[in-house]
Amino acid sequence: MGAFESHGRALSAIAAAWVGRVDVPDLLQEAARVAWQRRSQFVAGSDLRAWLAQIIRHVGVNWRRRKCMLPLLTTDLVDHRDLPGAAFDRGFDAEHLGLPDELARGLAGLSDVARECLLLHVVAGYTVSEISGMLGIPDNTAQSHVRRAREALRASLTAVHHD
Amino acid sequence: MNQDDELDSRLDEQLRAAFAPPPRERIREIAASVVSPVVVRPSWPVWLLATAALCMLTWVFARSADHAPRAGDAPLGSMWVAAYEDAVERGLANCCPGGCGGGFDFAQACRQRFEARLEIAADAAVELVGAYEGLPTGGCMTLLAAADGEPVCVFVLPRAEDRRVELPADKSLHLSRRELGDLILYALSGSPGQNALGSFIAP
Repeated sequence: MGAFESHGRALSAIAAAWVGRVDVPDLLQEAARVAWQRRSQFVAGSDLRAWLAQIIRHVGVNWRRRKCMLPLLTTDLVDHRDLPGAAFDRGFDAEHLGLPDELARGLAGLSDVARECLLLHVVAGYTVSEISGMLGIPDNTAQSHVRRAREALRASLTAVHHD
Repeated sequence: MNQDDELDSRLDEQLRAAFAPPPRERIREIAASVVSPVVVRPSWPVWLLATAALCMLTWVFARSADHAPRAGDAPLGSMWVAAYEDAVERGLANCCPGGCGGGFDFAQACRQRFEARLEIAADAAVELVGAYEGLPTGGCMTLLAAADGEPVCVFVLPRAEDRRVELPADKSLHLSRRELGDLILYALSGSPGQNALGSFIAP
């Protein structure tokens, strides 16, 4: 599992894009378990980092699905439709990031893939070309995700300053 | 430095601080924990009790599966919606190995996977793009197609595994179903009027 360790920076950024910051270690552990179980399915000579990235994304989807179902299992009288992030496509935890509210909201409003591209570029320091290889998308798509994500976050910050 | 650049550097700093990856040692520990998990060997009475409980659960589950009517499968519907949205967002051709077409032989894939004959009619109004590769879809064969220029995801599964899939209530997508021999086909699309499944035949 040395590969998992050497690509930890990229995998952490992708995991954070799916679930926020707090659950990253748990998501990494689940992904490591899946990767270990499926190691025989990895095609020698293919892109290991992209393969691991794909596993992280799959695990992220399942993780979020499970998390979004949890409120339904509690005995609290909560209408799950009213919960922020209860919808399947809103499992990103923006509350525990230590970011200003407007920036956290801006991040939560991005699509998953845009958040992945942004965090891989800004936090993990990967080039657009490396990101496109990891996520299996064209270079210009990755580029425009980063650009639009920045624009959206800038807008969320400036909107607050203008209020 | 203009205002946008200043904002960008401020944003970058905040993002780097908020999403700093776990230390390398922590990731090493995480990886190591799945390779050599700690095995706790329970004493034999606990082991015996666990086995008995498992047998009981299996029996109860088998009975309820035989007698209870099957409810609609909403979690699977959520997975399909996620895959559809992923395909639309990434572009259909980008979700198929080898891109558009990609040498995918649909009829052969069906024979190999289901031992059943399924093809698309020669005069079909639907254009098959390829097999979807991306998010999990619950083990179904997942096809990407375009009908009237609109993206459609087609999910194929054996009749025995069909669980009357339902979409999440908050989604405005449309799911249609067709039985064709031993196979069940579902089409997920943005428009209710599409008849993508009418193009599939069992010769």
